[in-house]
Amino acid sequence: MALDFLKVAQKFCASVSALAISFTFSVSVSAHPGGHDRIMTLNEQIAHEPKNAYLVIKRAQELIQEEQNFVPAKADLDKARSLGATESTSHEYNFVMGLYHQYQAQHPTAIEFFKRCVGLDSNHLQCYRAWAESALATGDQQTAIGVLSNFIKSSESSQTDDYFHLAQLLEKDKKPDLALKYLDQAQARFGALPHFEKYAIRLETSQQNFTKALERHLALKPFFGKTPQWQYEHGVLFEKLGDPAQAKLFYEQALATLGNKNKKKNKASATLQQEIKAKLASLKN
Amino acid sequence: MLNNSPLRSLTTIAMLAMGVVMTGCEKLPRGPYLQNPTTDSIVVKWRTDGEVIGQVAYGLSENNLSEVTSGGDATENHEILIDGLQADTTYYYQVQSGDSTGEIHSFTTPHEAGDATPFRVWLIGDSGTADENAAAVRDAFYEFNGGPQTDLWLMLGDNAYTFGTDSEYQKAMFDMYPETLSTTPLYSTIGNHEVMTTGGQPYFDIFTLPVDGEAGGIPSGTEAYYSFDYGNVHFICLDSEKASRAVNGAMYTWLETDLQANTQDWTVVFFHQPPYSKGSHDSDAGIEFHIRDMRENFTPIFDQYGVDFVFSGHSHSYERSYPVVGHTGKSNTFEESMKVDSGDGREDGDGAYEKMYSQVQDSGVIYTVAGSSGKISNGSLDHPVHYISLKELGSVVLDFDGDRVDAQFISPGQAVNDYYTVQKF
Repeated sequence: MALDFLKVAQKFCASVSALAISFTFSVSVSAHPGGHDRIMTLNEQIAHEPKNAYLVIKRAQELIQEEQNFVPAKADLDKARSLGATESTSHEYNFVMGLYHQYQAQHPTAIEFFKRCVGLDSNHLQCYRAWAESALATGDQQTAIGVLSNFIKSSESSQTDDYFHLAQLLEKDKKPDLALKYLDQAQARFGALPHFEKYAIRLETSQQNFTKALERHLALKPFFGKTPQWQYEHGVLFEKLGDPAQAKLFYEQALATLGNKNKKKNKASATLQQEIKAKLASLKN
Repeated sequence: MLNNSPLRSLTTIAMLAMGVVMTGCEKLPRGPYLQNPTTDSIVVKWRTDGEVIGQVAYGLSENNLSEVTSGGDATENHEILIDGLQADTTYYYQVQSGDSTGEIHSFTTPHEAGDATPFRVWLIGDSGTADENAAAVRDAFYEFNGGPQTDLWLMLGDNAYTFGTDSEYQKAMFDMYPETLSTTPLYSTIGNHEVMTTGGQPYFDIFTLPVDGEAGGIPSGTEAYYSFDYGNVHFICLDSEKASRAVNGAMYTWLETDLQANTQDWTVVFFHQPPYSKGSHDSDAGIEFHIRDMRENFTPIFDQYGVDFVFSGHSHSYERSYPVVGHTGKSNTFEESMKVDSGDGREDGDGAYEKMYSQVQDSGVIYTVAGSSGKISNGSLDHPVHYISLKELGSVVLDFDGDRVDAQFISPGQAVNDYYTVQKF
């Protein structure tokens, strides 16, 4: 995220006064080839409402996330602070201050600001995610997992992606059972999610839980049981369970589906066909 | 399909006239507008000035709105699901808010999945300027189309500048396209401007999008990315803004699952930030990491599963590619061999692009940047993946007709500035 030359540039530019920075910024952004229209629009809006702290914070966020242009971003954040925090801006100020440090790999400082942000707005989805990212960047997987799992438990704003991301962190942390728990919890909350089930099948398989993997795969049948891919994967699971007869049945079914001239094929069928034929050949051996 | 015919124009004029002479109809501050259509249901949304109980009366004739669905508690923001409908059928409806009644509008339900009956799609990108440019693009389409109603409407993000707030949406969408909103089901993908307000909350409040595969496709569990079927076409909306764009992320995993299950004749993908552009955003630029992610991580899976079309906005220009495969790098890594067809795709030129149903993988994806429905901006407009690059206001019309698709880029002044055909065998 952070680039060394940007750090150098920041140190160099830090000696320049805030006023000069603001002037330089407005000129450089206006001259930016091709646009970054949001920043230009924000420039115009701030020119009309120079005391609107929210606009200034938003511009800082854009400068950080879209351009990694930290010097004018910091000038904006300082300006926002001098304008005085209000109920509607103080959590955003802390969030963007956190981003300012996060994008420069100053994660412990970033985390302090993210903590302040969620202290003011306990539903700030982006902030929880950013906090977890910074925790991960410092190697603190436990905190990252804790932040995301607490968010999922406490907030209605959490989404399917948060569960998925948490499960990935738990998998990395060698806690596949806990990862499976969150994958299932998400489906209990949001309804059947075949991509979550696929991930769960992979986790079950990696733990040699082939019976459970097969049960989960069967749950996918209503969604794509007629596809050769599903039939093939079902055969693979039967083979892993030590049931070559059933495996053969599903491999042959997949081949038949692929060979159906009346069906318009929907995926890389040649590769799949080769894989299935190889599986069938190995079963004969 | 609503054809571009004199009859259609007359119908439009009659409908507009009816709206003028109908007195006593409530003027709603917002809507009605149509969301999440399936072959047997549709969601009608609208806003009232105060909290009242809403209901929708509907039927097969505008003189007989015999069915009524009520909304429950009093509210300002009404959202009513009408179900028990028939596929490919025109219904008339009227929203009722407390004691007030609205105008009578109509909509047509989608064809059954797999049904190859012709239909039209209107696509607009970066339309959120709420100014004369957006109006000119809108009017050019209405003129071309013979009226504001079509079968399906897609917005490619940045639908309301600058922050995607509710009030900006009012001006840029609800006040700009009221006739189309009340007659044509609308889907959208989220743009970078939408996410500037509380992570896109106004966008998610305004739109009701399929999360459970209710209109076909695999459930995503989120309105940020989703899919649906319309006739013999599978549409996939991705989120190039907030979702993880990693290959092992939730969105990618869902997409792969969805594409594996897809058996429709055509596949259309849409998301905001384009993989290839030399418009107001340069897809080669280091800071364009959303664009880079979409190109490097997602275009290979489009190739693998035979996606036919990818539509985006973000750059305020029109850029349309050849059918291409395997291009994941910067523009200077593009090679002629990556073009599946190096022609113009025009029947009166080099001939239509041709694809085989039996040869899906690497059959060529046509990428279109259609981000000039509200404004145009500078750029070198010379990305080699593109057959044509234009700094012109406009919108895209797709006409699906069984094994054939005709695409046109319509600019103000009735100019068809690009057109091509794809034929499948």
